[in-house]
Amino acid sequence: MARRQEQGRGRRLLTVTAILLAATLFVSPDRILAGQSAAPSVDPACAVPDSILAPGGVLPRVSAQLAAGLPLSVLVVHSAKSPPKPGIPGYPARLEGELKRRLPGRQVSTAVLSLPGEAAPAMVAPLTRAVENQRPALVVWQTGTVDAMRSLDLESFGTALQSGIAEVQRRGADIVIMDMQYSMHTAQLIDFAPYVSYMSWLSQSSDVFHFPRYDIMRRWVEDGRVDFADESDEAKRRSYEFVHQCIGQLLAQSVATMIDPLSIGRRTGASN
Amino acid sequence: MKNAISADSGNETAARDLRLDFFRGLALWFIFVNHIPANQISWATPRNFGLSDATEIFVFISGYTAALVYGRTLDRQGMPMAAAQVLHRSWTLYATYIILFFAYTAQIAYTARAFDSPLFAEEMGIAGYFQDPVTALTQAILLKFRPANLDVLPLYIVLLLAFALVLPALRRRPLGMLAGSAALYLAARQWGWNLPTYPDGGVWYFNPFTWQFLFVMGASLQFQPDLRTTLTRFRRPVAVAAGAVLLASLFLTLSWKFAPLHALIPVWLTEILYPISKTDLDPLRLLHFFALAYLVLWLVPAGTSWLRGPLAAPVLACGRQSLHVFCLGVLLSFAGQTVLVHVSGSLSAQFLVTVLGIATMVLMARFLNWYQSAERARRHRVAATTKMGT
Repeated sequence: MARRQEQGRGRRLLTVTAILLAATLFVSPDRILAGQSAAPSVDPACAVPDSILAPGGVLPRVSAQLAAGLPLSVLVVHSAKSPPKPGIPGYPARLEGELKRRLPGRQVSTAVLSLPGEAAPAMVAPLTRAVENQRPALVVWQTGTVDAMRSLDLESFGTALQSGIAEVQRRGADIVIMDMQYSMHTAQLIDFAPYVSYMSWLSQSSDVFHFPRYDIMRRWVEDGRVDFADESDEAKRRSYEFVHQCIGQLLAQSVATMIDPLSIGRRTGASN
Repeated sequence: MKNAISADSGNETAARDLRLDFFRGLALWFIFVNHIPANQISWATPRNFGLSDATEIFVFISGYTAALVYGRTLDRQGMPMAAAQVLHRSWTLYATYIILFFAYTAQIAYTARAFDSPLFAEEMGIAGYFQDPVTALTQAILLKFRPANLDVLPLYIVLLLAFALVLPALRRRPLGMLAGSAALYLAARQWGWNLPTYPDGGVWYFNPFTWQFLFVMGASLQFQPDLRTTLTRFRRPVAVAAGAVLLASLFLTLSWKFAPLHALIPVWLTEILYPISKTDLDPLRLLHFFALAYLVLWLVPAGTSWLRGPLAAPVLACGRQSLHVFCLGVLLSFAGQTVLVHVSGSLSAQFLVTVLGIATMVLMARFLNWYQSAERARRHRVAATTKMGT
């Protein structure tokens, strides 16, 4: 008797779950599909809540290229020194592998353009030239660090940002902009906030995705997941590894989320 | 003029509008809180609720009080004395700036050492600040290498130096000077005039060519009591308009945080509104400041009783000693940040740092107020006895 009641309860629970599942599917098919296409998620240690990182929208040119069966070529443009000191790969180098994991069966290639110590206005021309020559589907543009360090004029920063974005888009590529690194020490010396908020504002007012590295790192610091105050070489190496690995993962995850699920869904279906 | 002379007979503080000290003191508290990056309590300061912030309040009131103090000297003792006083004040500010710069340098040296981390070195090259100490120091002396958080001080020094030159003209023809100042403001915005900083390519965070407008406006309003009364008289339509401006800028400020709000603003409007430059004192910031000032002056009329109450007293004390409190605030915000980074960054620690910092500022202000009045009394006594002696 009691057993049967239990069974009954179990069945009812199953039904409810099924209805709920169906409802979820019905309500947001996009989300479910996107979740499938980006199967390998990020390490829990790297993950940040949606309030900080919530990639929305679609990368139309990347999606179109993938839908046409073309490989995904990514160009990372940044203002960091090119070869990382400790012999640990940085996020640009990790991006390729992370993207491949998320786009099984697709070809992914990344190229890096280092413009060390350059502010945004000086990055636009080389960035445009590189896009012209290499014809990537996606550009990841990290900028703002030098501008903030030298407290360069915010308006010319914004103008440069907008013209760089326009040049890239005109050449048929999608673009993601990435802001600065965060640590309390550097944030105390350098006023990043106006530049960060300009970038996030720009991405709000245009369709360009702003990868909020500053806020992501800040969350890690606040959660104690990474400790930049530790001065030992081992700790420095560890935090270097952690930050670059996680940035690589989160960036790849964001890009994968913004690929139109249909453009890869069709291909995956065909290859099966 | 007669009033000014009669005020001389001792009770200067009684004639002084307490609101000046109160709001300048409040601005100093806000500046202190805003200068601790790790302090989330800075969320409660005006910059998150409207376009203008504590800097506007500080600069405007500084212009107003500079006109009050040095205008009085000009009337009584003539131009040379007034100019000497202004220059003396600028010198004090400059010396203070250099002292603060050294505190800041120590901070950078420490950070550069801590940040010999490959992670930050590859993107920021923080050590670069120290690659050429000779240049950095000479540039600092020329006010060109300006550490963050110290931006207001160089602005204040330059404004005061220029003030010494224009004071007589400002006293005689306040409106003409205001028009000239407005023209300079517009020209600087139009043609992008600003002073350079080191490392090359930077500009002053507070552009003195634009921010002078607010300073001169404060000063010229001080010289024109009639105009002041007319401007601040309560009129319902103006109050409604001011309220609308405040609400609109609250909405704008919130839209920087919450994307859905931003989506409600039509694109053509954002193209007109942005960028809202703090460096060049955007007209919208000015508009917001005037709206705020109008409503606050109406809500807090000159003789408001609570300004004499115990709650306002600590703020008033800080406002009276604005230079020292500002500088102490900069040092304390360094210290506060260090505590939050190295000891604890919890919300209660942030609260504690804020409260202790403000308490220290109030204590020092009280001490200085006591010292100055005691010193004045002593000098009066000495003067009286020497007079009797001769």
